[in-house]
Amino acid sequence: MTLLLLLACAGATNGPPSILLVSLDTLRADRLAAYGNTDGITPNLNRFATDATVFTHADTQATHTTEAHSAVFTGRYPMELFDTSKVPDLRGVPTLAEVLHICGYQTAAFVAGGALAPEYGLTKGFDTYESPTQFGSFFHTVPPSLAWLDSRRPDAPFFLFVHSYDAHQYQRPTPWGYLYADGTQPGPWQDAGPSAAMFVADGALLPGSAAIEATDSMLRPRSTAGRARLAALNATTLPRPRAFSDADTAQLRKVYDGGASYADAWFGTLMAVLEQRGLLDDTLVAVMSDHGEELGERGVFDHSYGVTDATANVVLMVKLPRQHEGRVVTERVGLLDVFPTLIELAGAPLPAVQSGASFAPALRGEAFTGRAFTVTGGSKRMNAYSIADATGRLTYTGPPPAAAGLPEIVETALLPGPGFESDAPEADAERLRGELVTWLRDTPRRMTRSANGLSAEQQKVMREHGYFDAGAP
Amino acid sequence: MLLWLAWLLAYQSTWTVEGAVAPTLQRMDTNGDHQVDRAEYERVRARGQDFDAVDRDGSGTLDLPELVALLTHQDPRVYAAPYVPPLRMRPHTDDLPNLIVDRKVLQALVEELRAAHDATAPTDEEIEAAAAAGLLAPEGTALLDRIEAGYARAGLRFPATVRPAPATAPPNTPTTPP
Repeated sequence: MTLLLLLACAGATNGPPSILLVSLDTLRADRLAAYGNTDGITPNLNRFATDATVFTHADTQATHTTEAHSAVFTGRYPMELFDTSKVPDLRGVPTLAEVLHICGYQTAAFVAGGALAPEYGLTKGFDTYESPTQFGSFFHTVPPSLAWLDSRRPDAPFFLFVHSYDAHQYQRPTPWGYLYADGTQPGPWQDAGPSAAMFVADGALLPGSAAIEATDSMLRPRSTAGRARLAALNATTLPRPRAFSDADTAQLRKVYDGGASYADAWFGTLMAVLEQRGLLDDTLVAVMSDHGEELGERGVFDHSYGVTDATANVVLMVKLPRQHEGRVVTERVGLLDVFPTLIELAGAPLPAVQSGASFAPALRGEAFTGRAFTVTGGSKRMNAYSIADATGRLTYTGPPPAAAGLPEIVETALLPGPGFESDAPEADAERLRGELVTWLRDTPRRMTRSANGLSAEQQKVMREHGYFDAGAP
Repeated sequence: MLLWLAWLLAYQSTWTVEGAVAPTLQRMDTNGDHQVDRAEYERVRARGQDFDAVDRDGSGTLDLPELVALLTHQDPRVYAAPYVPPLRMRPHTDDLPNLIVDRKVLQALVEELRAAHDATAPTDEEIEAAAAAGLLAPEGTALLDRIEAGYARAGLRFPATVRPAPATAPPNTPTTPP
């Protein structure tokens, strides 16, 4: 395969562009002006959008970091790559870095650990893959990425991937994390603990850790089995819940905005230092988020416990080299479409097996249809799939997998029972249901057990950050 | 040609690190005085450094270079330019001999002392009193003595011409023609 690719690359257009792909983990699209925000939270990203093509209806293929990025790097749906493991099986699957590397690109990734730590297997094809810390910031990934740029060979194009968890880690606020919140007003919103997941039910905060505090008068399980489990829990003496008011919800949302703003300042810094080095104008810059975040809309502060617009809609903006005018594309695309797009723009050969569709025509201002619908999967702990088109979204949530590791009170109180939910008109919801079922039937699934797993240390780190199901496969 | 040049200039886009951080400073500056004081910083600080650590020049307010340094911790790989303190107002030495009462001169001198964290730096009230009395008056002279001593302790160069020359013979007195 390598020889065939090399032969194909030989016919590629001279002077392929260098590519910078920036991933702002957990950044909700609705925090950017290009996606309707009017609060000025992300001035640097807003500025970038004025010279870029903005995809206003871009959806991730999974509301979990590893799976979402695997779709970007392979052009495949996560269910084609993951069985029950946390790690994708990429045997025989060409990755973006791999294809570009074979075609002469120097490839490097600087990731902020967590679900992109090297153990998660997305290093394939990168000459350099550095993960300086766990759940880190652009502070950890931008400097070494610049050092790499300064030390690379100038006679060959580069593919550089830079990632950060700044928006993800709002429960451990960034240096100026209270830019919008009132840091002087103490409250339970400051005591979320180390977990990345928070759940609020009827004005009560349910810590995402093993400690459970609730009373049955404040919770309304949706299923008979759930009510029975809650009754069994309440048979023991439980402490009173910690109140979490609407004001606390508002504060936590503002803390999230502070994290987004900090990430944005770093993004502007990255653009500035690239321009200082004379690289910015000749580089294709793509900016994305891998998924969004629920900020209490359903009592959930997380991205892994359901698929909604808040978690599925993502940022996707692409600036071609020497592009100086903005463009807005409203046609629907998925993050997996980044793969064939960057391959095409690099003049590289497209692997025969992949599920993405290039949106390069949209970048060139040519006629572009987009997808009829996008499909997003929840993480494995949710067993959820969501389909969305212009009429709305329909989500199927199945029973949580046995090894989900969810706190029981969360499972009983907050998660819907098995079934479909939709915000589309009834006739459209029925149509979407049929399309989702067809898609689930027709999309190849990875059934064989992958050989990779997580070390005990990585499992511990992930559990500490609220990923309760980060046990060994 | 001119049209092409205008088009070229219109599409020049310069990203700067300061420009990236400036909106944050603006957001922190809740009272709109274009400075970020301790209270404004503490209000937004979550896991950031203490104010005094960020206020590298000890001015009591944060400026853009200091915020950039907070963001980047002065990693040379990120921010190649060295930290440059804001330009401080220095008395113009040519003007000083002609000044009898100049509040700005005194303020500029005292600012230097405060920046050097000198504990004997005069207060604003003392500056007002000396300025009102005049630099030739005992209050003015005494204040200048204190400032000069503080400069010596801090290793700063006290401007040689800051003390007004006492009045003697009028200038340009014509001499007896040969």
